[in-house]
Amino acid sequence: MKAGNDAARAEILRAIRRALGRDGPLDPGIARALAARAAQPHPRPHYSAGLAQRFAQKLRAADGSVDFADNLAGIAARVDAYLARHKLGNTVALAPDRRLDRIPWPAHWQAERRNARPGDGVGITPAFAAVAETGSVALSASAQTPAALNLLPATHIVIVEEQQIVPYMEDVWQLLRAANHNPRALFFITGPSRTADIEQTLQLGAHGPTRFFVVVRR
Amino acid sequence: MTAESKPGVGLFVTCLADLFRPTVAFAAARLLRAAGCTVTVPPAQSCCGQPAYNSGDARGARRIAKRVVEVFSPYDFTVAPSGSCAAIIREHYPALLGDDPGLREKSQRLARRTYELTTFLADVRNFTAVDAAFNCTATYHDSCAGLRECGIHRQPRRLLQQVRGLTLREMADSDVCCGFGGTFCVKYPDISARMAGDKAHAIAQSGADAVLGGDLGCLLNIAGRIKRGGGGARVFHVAEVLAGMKGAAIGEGEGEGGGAK
Amino acid sequence: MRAAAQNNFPRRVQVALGNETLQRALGRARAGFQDKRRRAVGQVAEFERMRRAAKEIKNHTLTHLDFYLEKFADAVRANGGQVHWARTAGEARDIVVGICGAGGKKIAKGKTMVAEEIELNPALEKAGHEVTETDLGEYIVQLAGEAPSHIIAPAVHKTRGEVLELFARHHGAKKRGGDTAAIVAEARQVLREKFTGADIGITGANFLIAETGASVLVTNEGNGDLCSCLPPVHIVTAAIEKVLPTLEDLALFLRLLGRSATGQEISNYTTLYAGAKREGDADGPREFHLVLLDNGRSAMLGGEFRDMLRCIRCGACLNHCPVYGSIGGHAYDAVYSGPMGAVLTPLSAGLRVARDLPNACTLNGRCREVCPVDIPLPDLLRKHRMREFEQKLGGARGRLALVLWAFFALRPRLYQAAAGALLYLLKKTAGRRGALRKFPLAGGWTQSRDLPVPEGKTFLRRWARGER
Repeated sequence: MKAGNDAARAEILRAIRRALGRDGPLDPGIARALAARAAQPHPRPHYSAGLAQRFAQKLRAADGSVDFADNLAGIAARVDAYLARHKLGNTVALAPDRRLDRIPWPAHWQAERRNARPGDGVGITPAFAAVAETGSVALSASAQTPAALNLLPATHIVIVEEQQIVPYMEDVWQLLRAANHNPRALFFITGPSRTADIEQTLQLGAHGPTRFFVVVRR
Repeated sequence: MTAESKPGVGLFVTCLADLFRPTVAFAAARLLRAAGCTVTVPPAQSCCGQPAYNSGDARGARRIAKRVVEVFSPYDFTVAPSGSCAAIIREHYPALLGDDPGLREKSQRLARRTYELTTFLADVRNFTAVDAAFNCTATYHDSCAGLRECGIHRQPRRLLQQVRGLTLREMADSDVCCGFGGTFCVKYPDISARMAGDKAHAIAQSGADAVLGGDLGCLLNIAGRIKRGGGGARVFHVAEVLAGMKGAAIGEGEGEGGGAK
Repeated sequence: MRAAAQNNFPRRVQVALGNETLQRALGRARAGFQDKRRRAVGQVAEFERMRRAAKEIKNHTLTHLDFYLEKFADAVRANGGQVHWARTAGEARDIVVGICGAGGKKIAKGKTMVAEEIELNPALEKAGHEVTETDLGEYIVQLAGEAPSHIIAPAVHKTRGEVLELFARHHGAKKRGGDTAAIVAEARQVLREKFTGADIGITGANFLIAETGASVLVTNEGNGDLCSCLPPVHIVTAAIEKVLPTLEDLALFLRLLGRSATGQEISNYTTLYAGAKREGDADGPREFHLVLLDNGRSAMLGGEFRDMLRCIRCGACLNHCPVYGSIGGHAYDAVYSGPMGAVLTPLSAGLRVARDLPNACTLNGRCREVCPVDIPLPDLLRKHRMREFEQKLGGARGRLALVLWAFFALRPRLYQAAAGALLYLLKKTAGRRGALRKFPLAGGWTQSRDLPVPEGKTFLRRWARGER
């Protein structure tokens, strides 16, 4: 198996080099230059709105809900109000993350610090960052932030600190590089799951969450 | 203006105008003269080579292109009443003849000096002396090669605004192909008919009583489809309307349609 | 093999044009996709600059493809993933079947065109596995026993009524509601079990990032992420041209992809996957496999179709092609349809069997206009026609007509004489009529439209006689 794979790899690379008019790997000097090819910024949509405002506007346009809170207690209140408004009960799966532990969740909740289970109604996760350009939250998979919590619960709620909102996706790359971090999975989620596979009619809640709610702490 | 300062235009008649609708070429010549040009019609012309080129006959296309380059090189400008023929000369001749050292530069030079009629009038000559009347609501079909390879869109509309009595009303999808496509329309008649039908429908929906365009291939196709039961709009080449030379519409017999309103 | 049926293109076209349900579906899809893209692109002043930058990045990457692929593969391994190189479709199938092991596995699949290309599902089923497509559109065509008819909207040809019937047949006859919400809810319920019970998840990748070894998956349903995160084994099938050098490049391409494909600024789920579950991670697959497929691409790289390797499979060329809009994807009888398919299929199936596809095009250029990486699709289709002409694959009659045309075109006097004779004949047939319903040898034209009658003499003759 290994030998076959090595042979296939060698042959594909050889065919590519032949097609490119080379008979071996790139000249080491060029290869070094390419490796150092600066992560150049490319042309991208310009906008002038403030970050939090833009983030909220774009996420709402993608059928997500956004609310703002001034402190930790405010976050709990906003989430609790959201659950009540949409009659989502009070059973909640919380990402086992210190950032969520600090929030004084309502005492009448049945909140469990754990990964998602198939029948979960509500999952709450902290964000890695948020992107104002598109109204997306960036969520990384880790011990404290299970990936399935982003996907299985019918309602996905994300807690974002306002200073986590960056202008562009490229700024998230800078955060990753600064932390020398390459998570197993990095999600950019922009609103609830959807499909238009039936007659081009938009329908929310295809496979992932049907509701997507973000609370931003100012 | 003295005769010496008048730019000399070689009129590329196009084979469809030559064969089917000479009025288009007469109209083009009249407009070019009105725009201060001297017009010459080189008699040794025929086709731009598009049928060969688009059917994969690169050799045939190259031979025809070579001929066109030689015949039209003497003029200050080459002007064709067709976006697709102009596009072939402008966009494709230099590539077709690029390997021929004797013709590379000549073909590039010709490409730079070749224009479709309405772009030449509007953009190069800044022509504002349209003297024509046509009481109608007209809609304009943007032929594909003209639109996408020569950038023809606002020029014919700007010129048509000067026609007395003419109101422009855009149809839906004016930039969508009518299904002509040269040999496509006879090789794949079913698909072509569907596309022509969609176009005729869009024209009828627009409520316009005339449909204008800059490419005879498309116009013959559209007129043929409308005649076969696709509404009542009359079909003219834009040059005929601008030159005030429209008689019977394309596909209309003598005594049919009542001539110009 | 599907290619064998290619010769029936005209027949398939007739069937498609006569299928009213399909025509309704196509009409709706065409308007929907075009409007959404137009709005999204219109909102970004920088779109053209973004498009040019994307083209440059792709060209740069292709020129150094070996370098970026090796870099990517090294990074995947550093992330704890395994990289498998597949020269051919068969090799790729064998690799995936090998990873899946003994029969009886439950496999949840996210939409992957590469898997369609290598005909993976039949191979997996033959090996005794249960394969479930989880993208709603793919699931629908799987239930119907069909192939996808559009690269991003696989069931675009199906109406709601047809889906309802399919679901009733496959999910049991229990009476269910008929609206779209009910259909989606039903699929969600059925497929949820497939995700949670799967032994293996298989997805494609929209992009591969050399810098970090990430495979990037873009969906709106979130199904691909469920396939990637829940099962203990995740297999990604991707082709070698998917690689991009850096994350910055990715950001640019995501902006173009969403807008071009569905008119979204970004798709709802855009996820970067870098290998298997790490020590301490709460979840994730214990095995991560990446199958890198060549299947003719390295050959394309060295030939006149290299530009096609820039394709990011957004579907914009399909959505704006008037031919695709008339006949739908199945008439192409190939994995990839529309303009990009008409370029790719002759390269994979051979020009002899697929020669209709590059010809069934008016060269109207709309595909190139909307292509986010500016692939000169009409030029590439014309190149196929040139090869076809060189290899004498086309019909003798068409060839003769072309030769005759060129002969006369190069001999203006003869041309004028022949034209005069033809015009005389047409005019005589027509009398006072302005258009003919029939004319010998013009059957292709007159079967659905009249033939406008020429005015009379040629322009050149009249001009030569002094008429002005």
